[in-house]
Amino acid sequence: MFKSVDSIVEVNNLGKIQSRRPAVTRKRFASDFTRALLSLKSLATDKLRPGEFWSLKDVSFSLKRGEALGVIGLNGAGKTTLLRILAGQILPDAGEVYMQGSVVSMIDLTAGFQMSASGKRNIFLRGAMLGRSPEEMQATFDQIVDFAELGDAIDAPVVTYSSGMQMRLAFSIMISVCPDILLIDEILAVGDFQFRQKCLAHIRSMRENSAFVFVSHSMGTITDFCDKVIVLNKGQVVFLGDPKEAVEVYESLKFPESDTPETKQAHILKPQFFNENAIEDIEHFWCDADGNPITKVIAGQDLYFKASFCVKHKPRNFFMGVPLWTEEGVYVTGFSTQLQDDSFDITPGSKNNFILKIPSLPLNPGFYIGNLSISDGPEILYRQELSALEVLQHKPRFWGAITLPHRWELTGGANSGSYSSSDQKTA
Amino acid sequence: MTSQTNHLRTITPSGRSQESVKNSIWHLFEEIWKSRKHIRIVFKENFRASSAGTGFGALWNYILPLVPLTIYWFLARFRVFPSFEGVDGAVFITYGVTLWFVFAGCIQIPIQVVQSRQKDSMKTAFPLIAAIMAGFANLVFETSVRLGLVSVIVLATQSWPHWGVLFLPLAMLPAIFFFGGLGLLLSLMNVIYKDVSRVTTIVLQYGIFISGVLFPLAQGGLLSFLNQFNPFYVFIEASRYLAFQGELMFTPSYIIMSILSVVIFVKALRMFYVMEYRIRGLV
Repeated sequence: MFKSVDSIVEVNNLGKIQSRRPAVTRKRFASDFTRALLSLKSLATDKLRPGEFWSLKDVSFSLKRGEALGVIGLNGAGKTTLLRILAGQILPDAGEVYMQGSVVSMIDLTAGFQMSASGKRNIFLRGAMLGRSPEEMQATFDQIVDFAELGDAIDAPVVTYSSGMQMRLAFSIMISVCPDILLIDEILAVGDFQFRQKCLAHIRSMRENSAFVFVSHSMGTITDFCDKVIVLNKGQVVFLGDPKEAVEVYESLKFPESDTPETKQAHILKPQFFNENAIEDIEHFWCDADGNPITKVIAGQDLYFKASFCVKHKPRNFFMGVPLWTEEGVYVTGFSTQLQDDSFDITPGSKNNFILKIPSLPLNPGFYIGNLSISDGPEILYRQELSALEVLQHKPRFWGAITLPHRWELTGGANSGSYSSSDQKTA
Repeated sequence: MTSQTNHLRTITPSGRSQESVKNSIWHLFEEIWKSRKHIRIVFKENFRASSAGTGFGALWNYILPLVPLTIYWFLARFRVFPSFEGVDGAVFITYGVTLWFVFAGCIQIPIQVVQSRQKDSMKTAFPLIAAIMAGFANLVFETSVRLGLVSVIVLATQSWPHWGVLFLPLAMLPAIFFFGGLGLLLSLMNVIYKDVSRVTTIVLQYGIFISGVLFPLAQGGLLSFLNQFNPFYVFIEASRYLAFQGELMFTPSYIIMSILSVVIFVKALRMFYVMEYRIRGLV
């Protein structure tokens, strides 16, 4: 039972056994079926059989009203499995969960929709699933339709909705009830940016009266929204506590210390791609003003990048860019043709030469890695790693990855004057 | 998206299996009661969806269940089936076929619902038993439509049933328990062995010929002895005697089958209650 009187969610040593082979899973089900047929009281055995693994193991936490627990972890860490158990959709194989109050789960928002029925009918259908009468749903009907921003489309069958519209409708129905416990899986997957902000604002307004369990890959949302965070790795809790520390632990999981620098960089720069049927004869390198390849440059100097390639078909919406990271994986900036108003006339079958100029390089000393990405609209033609660039020190002191031109001025006092970083630019 | 109501919930691996049989069945009916509005909506939507986009619309929902009955009716008109024990052949056949569809539906609906909803149910907490009830609601509708046609044929042939037919629902309750329970157990077995649904379909397609629905079965010899163990035959014969002779034949077979039906039904409900959340983890 609850260890603390304030808690409304208590999870003790929770475990779930799964298998990637359906035959193995069915074998466990068959064993449980036989035990149930023989009227044996205990079904679940927490012993692993060949082909099984713990998708969750020894997960424990508690939550009070008004608290938000974030759950983060790499793909396959067990986040959604945990949420599904809390939602009562699947049973655990070990441990126990106690929950006091009404629970609403937003795991697969559109699951259970009657696709041939109209949005309007689905509101009542979902309302019934949430334990609400048609009269109650009628009372909040306008509010739901307004929030979902569906307008007249509410009378059309859900099958005609875009995935975003379906998500908006499902979310709007959910928020029409005020549950004690709200389970959310990747809320930021809902609709467009504006709608996501609206959702988050609404969820914030529910903060005081509800407890939240919140799964997300958005570290910003996790740190902003949650009071404490669980980091799951291979089904086990590797950290439970302060959100910022949790994100650091998560980042260390993404790039383990045991990784070699090459492996880390491969993680940062992936995915790599080369469509040889669309583009060929590619050359690219960092260079100086004369076009000579370089691997080192002094901070504050002009830097150049040359790229040449031959496309086989005329691209309709050509753009290219160079995203840049520090060797630790901090995304510094990107140099994209999309920021320019020029439209480049790319000639198929002949060599197209580009030069990128970065005046007064604002990067601080260190190693920088990047990709050259060439695309035709949404289709990536080429995305390959650049040779690493070493930026050499020019100033005695610097902070962070870049130094932007800036100027301090003393606007009062006897010795008014100024200091500008750009005064020290190197030619 | 799912929701549970405002009470203390405890989720443990063996929570359901440790409950008593009485509590299991009570909770199962509680789930059905709580989901009654949803069952109604799902039934309505399935009803609409089955004929959506067609020219005749909902009329198809009335026409299609009648098709097999009309075939047997016409065959009876052409004397393919003779009159039985003073009852017009068309009434005899269509009444029997209607009962057959009820029994077969009780077996097939749980299997079909669990099979089709298995994936979806994992993503919602909507009870599978409620989805099965929505399927049964459709069976009740189709049976009502068929009985409507049987009534028309009764009027046309002036083959009046005995007033004892009013007790038919009561007399057929053991049959509903028997075949409904069997359907629930088979739906669970079908999760383990996917062949179960196929074998059931084949057995039911042949089964109509050994159920006494179409042809009177042997009244003596080995086949007659075996019929005493054929639940289809036992329940259909009992219902015919009640409907047309006004007698409920409390044969030893009927009594044994009725006792067995309660045992099967209780066991099946208990099994389904215990295993439902295990099914969800099987996707």
